[in-house]
Amino acid sequence: MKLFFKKIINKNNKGRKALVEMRGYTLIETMIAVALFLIVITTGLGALLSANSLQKKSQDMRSILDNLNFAMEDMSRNIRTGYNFVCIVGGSPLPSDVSTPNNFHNCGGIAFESGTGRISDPLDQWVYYISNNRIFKTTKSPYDDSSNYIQLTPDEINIDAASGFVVTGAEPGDGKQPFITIKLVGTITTPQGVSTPFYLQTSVSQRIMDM
Amino acid sequence: MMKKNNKLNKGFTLVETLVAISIFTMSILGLMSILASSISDINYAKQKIAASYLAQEGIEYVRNLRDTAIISSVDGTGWTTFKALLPPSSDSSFYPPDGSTFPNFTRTISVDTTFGPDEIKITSDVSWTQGSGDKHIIFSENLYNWTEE
Repeated sequence: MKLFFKKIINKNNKGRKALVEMRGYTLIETMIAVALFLIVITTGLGALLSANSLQKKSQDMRSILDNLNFAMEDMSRNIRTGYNFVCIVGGSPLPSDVSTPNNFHNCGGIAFESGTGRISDPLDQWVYYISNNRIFKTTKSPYDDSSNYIQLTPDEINIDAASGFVVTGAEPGDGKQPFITIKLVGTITTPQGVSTPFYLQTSVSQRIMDM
Repeated sequence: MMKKNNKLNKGFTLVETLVAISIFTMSILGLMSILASSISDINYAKQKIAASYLAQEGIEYVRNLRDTAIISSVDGTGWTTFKALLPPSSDSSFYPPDGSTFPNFTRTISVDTTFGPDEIKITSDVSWTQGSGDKHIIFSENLYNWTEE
């Protein structure tokens, strides 16, 4: 009988020992762990989100810059290989005939015979025209029909009034090789509201000899 | 029993903690530096676009001088007239007359005449200051006398 009780006590003690060794976390430990977890996750998530929005901003800026570069490249390349330049004064209504060469400073638009055009055809000129803070282009007549023009620059690019073309040496028989300066001034605004100014200028000399 | 418990409850050592913190910091710093450099790269790309158009403009201007000299001469002396117009060496004031005020950019056009009488090399160097130093873009083109005297 005595032995039996001893056995039970021993058994109970064994159970207590096991209980002490298998005890879990205290409330304080759990709270500290959860608080640390929350702090790390909040800051980490914040950093991740801001990194993501920063990446989106630079991607948008990059693609708008590419577009601006394309518009400038398209204009300079086509003007360089073109001839018979006509200055269209900015702000004035679009003329229907753009085949008589002239010189002017502060042109809001420029018309010319493209490299593949025929000088005998007055209705195959190409026109670049700055209007409503955008650059427009047409490769076919009628030139006074605004629905004929396609928009070269996206709405995120705002082209200032200081932009335009300077045409010199375009009149026939003036003994000068035509020289056209293109100037683009304005601001880029990304969809996230980041805006940066830009200033682009280049000049091209007509490749075909003006003889 | 007490010893056993101590062994079971042992935490991290100081070295382990420091290693863990430094790995975490390095990975965060890496991410942040990539972000910062992507922002400055966008700005660099934007300035480079503007600079390359300005450099090309300088070359086009000299080419226009040559072509104007050649078409306005009747006796084939256009090339000689053109060479007399060029600056002796490099000259940063050798701008096209219109719109020569470029914010932040400096253009220097230099002429190399050592190729013989009928060839010159035009170098157009546009520089601007950005971030920690000066950036450059250099375009060059060789012009020839294709006329006969």
